[in-house]
Amino acid sequence: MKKFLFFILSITFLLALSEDLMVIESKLYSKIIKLHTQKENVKIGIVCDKLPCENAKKLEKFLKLNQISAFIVTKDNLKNADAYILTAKNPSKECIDALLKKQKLIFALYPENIKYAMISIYVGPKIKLLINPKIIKKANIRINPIFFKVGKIYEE
Amino acid sequence: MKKFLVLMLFLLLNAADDDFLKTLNEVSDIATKTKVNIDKIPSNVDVIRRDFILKSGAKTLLDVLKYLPGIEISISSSGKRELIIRGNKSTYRDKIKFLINGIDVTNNLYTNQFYYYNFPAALIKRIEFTKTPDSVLYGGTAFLGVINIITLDEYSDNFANFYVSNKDEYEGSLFLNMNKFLADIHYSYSKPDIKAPKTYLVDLINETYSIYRNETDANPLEKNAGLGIKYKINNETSLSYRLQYYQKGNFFGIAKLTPLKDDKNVKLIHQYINFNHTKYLTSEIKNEINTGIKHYEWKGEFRNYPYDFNETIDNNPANDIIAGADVKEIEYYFKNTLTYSTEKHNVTGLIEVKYAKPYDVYYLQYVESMGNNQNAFNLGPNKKHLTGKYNALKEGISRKLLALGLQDMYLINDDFSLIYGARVDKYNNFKPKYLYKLGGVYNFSEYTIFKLLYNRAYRIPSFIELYAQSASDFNGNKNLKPETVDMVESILIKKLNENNRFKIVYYYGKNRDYIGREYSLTSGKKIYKNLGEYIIKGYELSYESVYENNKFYISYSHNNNRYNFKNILKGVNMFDWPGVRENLVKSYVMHNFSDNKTLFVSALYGSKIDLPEYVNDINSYFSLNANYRFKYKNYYINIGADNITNHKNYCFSDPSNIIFHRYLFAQDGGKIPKTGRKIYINIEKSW
Repeated sequence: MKKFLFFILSITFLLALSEDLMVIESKLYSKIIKLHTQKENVKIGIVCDKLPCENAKKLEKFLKLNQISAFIVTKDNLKNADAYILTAKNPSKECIDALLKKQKLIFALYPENIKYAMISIYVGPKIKLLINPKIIKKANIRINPIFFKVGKIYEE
Repeated sequence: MKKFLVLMLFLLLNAADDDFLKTLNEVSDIATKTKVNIDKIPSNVDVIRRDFILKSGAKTLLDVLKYLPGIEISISSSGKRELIIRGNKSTYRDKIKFLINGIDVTNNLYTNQFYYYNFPAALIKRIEFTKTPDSVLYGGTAFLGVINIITLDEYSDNFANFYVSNKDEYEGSLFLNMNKFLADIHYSYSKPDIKAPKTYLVDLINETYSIYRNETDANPLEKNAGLGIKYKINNETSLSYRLQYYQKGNFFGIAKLTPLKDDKNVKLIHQYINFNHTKYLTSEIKNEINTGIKHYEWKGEFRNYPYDFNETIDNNPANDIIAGADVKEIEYYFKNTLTYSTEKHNVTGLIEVKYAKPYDVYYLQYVESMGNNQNAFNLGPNKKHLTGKYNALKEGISRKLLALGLQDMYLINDDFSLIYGARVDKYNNFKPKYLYKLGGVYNFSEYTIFKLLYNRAYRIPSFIELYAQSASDFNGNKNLKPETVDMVESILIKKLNENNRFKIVYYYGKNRDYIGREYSLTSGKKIYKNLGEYIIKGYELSYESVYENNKFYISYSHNNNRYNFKNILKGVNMFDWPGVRENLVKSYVMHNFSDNKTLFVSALYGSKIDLPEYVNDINSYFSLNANYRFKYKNYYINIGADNITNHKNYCFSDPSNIIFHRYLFAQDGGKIPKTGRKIYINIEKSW
């Protein structure tokens, strides 16, 4: 397990890449949720700050292509799901707190938002998981050790 | 029993972990394919994504490529669209590998692919353009680089668009995503009103020249149509088919002669059917098979000149010498790529076999007014198919290839990676070619990245270069050897902060056994030869700035290529005047007023083209362009203009073959015009 002092560029350079990132994330996150929950039929809540949310719609479509049931939720209406994906660029503290109370996996769409989530991706020569143990601890959940084994640890 | 259950649980968990590791490798593969990790891997690829394609208002592929540093978009006199890559102008073929969704659509006949250059931008999801030669992965035609066009796919919405401009051009395209079945279709027509320049007849013996034809209407007709289908049989297997049809007039004239009355056209059709099977054998080993058939046809005729050679007194189309041909080519191929991915290595092994041959080839040469009277002008009366010694291409030729390659990307750590590989290509009629590559990337920090790449690539001569036996511009030479290039590139990427990025590229290459055409005063022909050594060198600087709603980009490129050989004709070395622009500047600003409103403004500049003293240099190129994109109800509308200032822009046109060992034709000022100001509207709908 390697510790990783997180240092990533602003999403501005990644904005145009968001669709390709979403394809990668939808595949990877679907697999992680299934592995984490040990369930075949899982539901993912895609969390938006406000509607309409174009990125959330795209992500919903891509997750469905991976045979994952997904729906869009807002911070004021956090329906129950097996995991959540944060899509806002600057999610509010209320939103994060509400999600933590759910004690479910929280993913970040934008890698730089790992500080608010448990898992995101690190785009290096290979794709790796970025894991934020602080948020995992806050939510008081356990995750599969394999994620730590192949991931990078985010430290603020 | 308890022990058994624990063992089963352990095995199941391991299987799940294995499945997860497979997915991790799969997404790493996607990242490499989509180039999202481009700064971290040892390669130099420019990637243009759909967001830019749509917001720039581009109509065709070339309208997008014109923004890349070091790329000059040009046209040869007979209308063939040209990509001049880092100052390499190569009439009739651009010495690059051209892929559509990873499938090579470059023909063997002339190793060109210009029938795809007008491919509608609206159907493109992403363009990957590497100007690095890469024969280890892509084989013989990846000489000056590789273009891979990724069309809309299963992640894309249904899409339709219609484009029309004031230059008598329109285009329509449609993409349908029906889950397992994807289809795209397009049609375009273009016939702008432009003039072909006047033509001079040069007498090399008396050293005089006179006007042979005055400026006249050009024949710039272009029709493009295409169809692409992909059927996903299951998650591992798919079948795809693609057809590209291109019809063109002879623009400013064949053999540098302005068009004649009732001019003729040329049709080009390329098709392929590809079977793909991709399977993860283990979480670390992926096997991909691509096999299929490609078919290409070039069919056309040109009006050359009246049989009595006397333009001034004769204007009767029936007296023109019409030359043409029909060449069909078929290729069968099989490629197996095995990838082994671990945390530290990404090993690719490949085996490729192919067989290609022209068939049903004939030459045409006739004069309508001469009826059945066969003579040197009316060689095949009434469009008789000429074969044997009169054929356009030597008969009974074919080409077989067996290739083996191995490449490894060694990820020493997240900041430092190496790439190395080798390949051997064995063609039936050439000695084995050994290709190799070595490169590395080092991330000094997230803000400073340095790459160094070396590649040795080659290009096998095309069927035309080897075996053409036409009387005009195409004269083959069966003794040609493959040409090779050794290219070194250094790339420095410097990000000043989160929003600003510089890129500096320096390249130096030696092209040995350069294949080009040499004028011969004795034969009067331009004959393909291995002319010698050609030095390719230059640099590209670019700066990009991205803020919340704004993007600014500017690039400057300079090429300083040099031919270490000569072809002197009447005291003038023809290779002193390559007809390229040495300096190119490209810039654009994109401002998003909101998610649905964008203004894109670009300016493109190319320095003058140097010509011999007795001809004026061709003026610098300039084009100011703008596109405004907005959403109206459920439609996106693009309204824009290209070359807003109506700047007079030209391309270079070299002189023709020598006729009767004495005469040649040259277009006024050695140049041909581009279209002027264009205003267009494009309506899109996705659902």
